[in-house]
Amino acid sequence: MSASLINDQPGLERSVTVIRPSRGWVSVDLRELWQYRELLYFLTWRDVKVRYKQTIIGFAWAILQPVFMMIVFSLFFGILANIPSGNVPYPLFTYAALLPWMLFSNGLNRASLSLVADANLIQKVYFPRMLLPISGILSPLIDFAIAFVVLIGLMFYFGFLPGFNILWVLVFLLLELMLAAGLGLWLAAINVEYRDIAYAIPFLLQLVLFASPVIYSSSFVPPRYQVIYGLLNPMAGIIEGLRWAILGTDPPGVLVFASAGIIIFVLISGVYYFKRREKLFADVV
Amino acid sequence: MEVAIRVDNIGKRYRIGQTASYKTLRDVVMNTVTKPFRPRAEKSSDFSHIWALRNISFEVGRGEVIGIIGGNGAGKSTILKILSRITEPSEGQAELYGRVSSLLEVGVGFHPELTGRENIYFNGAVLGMKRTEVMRKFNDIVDFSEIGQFLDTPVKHYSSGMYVRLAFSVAAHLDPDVLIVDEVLAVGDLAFQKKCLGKMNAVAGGGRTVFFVSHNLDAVRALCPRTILLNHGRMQKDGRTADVIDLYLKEENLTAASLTEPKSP
Repeated sequence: MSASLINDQPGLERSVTVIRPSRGWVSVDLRELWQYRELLYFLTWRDVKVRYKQTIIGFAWAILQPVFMMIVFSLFFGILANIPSGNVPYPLFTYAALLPWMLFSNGLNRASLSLVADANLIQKVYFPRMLLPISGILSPLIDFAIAFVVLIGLMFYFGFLPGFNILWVLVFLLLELMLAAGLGLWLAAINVEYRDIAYAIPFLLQLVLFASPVIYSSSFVPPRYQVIYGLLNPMAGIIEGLRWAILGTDPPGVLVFASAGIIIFVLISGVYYFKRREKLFADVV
Repeated sequence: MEVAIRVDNIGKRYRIGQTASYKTLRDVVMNTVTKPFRPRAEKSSDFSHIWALRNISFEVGRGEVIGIIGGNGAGKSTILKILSRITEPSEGQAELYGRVSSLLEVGVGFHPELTGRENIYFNGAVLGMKRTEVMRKFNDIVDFSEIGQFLDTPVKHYSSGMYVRLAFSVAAHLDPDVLIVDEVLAVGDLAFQKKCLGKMNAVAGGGRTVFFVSHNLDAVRALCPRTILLNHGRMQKDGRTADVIDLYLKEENLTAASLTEPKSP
């Protein structure tokens, strides 16, 4: 939809909204997204508020899920299969990877289903539709922050004090959110028309978990395949990068650059695909 | 006359079948595979269109209250959705001057698990109010809704009347220059409906432009000096409410009569 809001201030008179059919490629209106930032906040806030309603242990779920996965992985892959984790104790090694993984998979899942879940909003109110998948990406950050406290506890317990490299965590988290947003925009837009996405996602995410260096190190993949690995699974670069920043494992090198490149591509293409399909959402969803 | 809404030759075309149902990838594949084997007529019907709305042009002056009426399928919802920017027109152009709010349903985005207080904030944001604005109007909203003591109860425990009253109160405190409203008055008990009507009158009297779509002819008569009658996606009449409603009723009666009339052999 091509509509422009010249100003939105109640005090300033005569802003004008123009409505006409859109043609071809539609540009992304960053100004408008900024104007709607409060709605983004409230959408995310609602998601967080509602998530653990009517549960007994509430936000403890944010800790229980990764901790239990860590225990199971440590038992089967760390002790029984004896997968090497360098000089890092296996529980810490896998927990540091599980957190970004869960952030990614929860965010992507929510984002993909967001348009259909809020179909009623789409059919009754105007706002930039992009806010829905983006809020789906952002709301699991709360769970991530809560589970991160446990990570800090584990680090103290095993005597791993982070260096200055810990600041890189922010860069890798940003990359991860960009990846989740790019994929989320693609899948959310497709899911409006083809509900297959809703069935495919949980299953695909499970496959990608095992294709990501969560239970093993990316050095399992031979050096000459590292670039291809990073391109095919951008989460690999992110997870190894975070592990390096937090635990001081071997720096992941070329893997990260391959992943970062593909992430930027996924994000830009996702935004444009979404914008192109956006006008059909209200009629189709 | 200062213009608040200008609609210029707006049309909306729907592809038949497009809105039909959920498609899965399998359906698309099956369609592509079976298409060559289907008779030609059926193939062409895949691409047929209908105009839900066509050649609609009108202007609404600032502070004017205009009603839109018409039977089922006349295109009332379509024009509402276009002006609310929910769906885009296939042709033509419309301009809206000033801050626009549209109210196609009361309580859009209300979440059953959130409390009344939380829903006021969330719903306010959905309708385009700033947080500071909601805070400023909070007490008025709560007073108007008469739900006072249940403010911190999740709305899933509300009676349907309470729910609707709260939802309407939030909407009633929007402060737009142009207000686009669907049949939101047909809610709540009679006393509350009167109150809403009063509020709407106040809004209309306050120099705001109201675009009011309704089945409720009494409400249209009470609120709107001018009315547009839509019929099968075309503008049939635009004029004084009394005249337009007369025409509409006369046609309705004709249709009703032709339906009940026994068919002659």
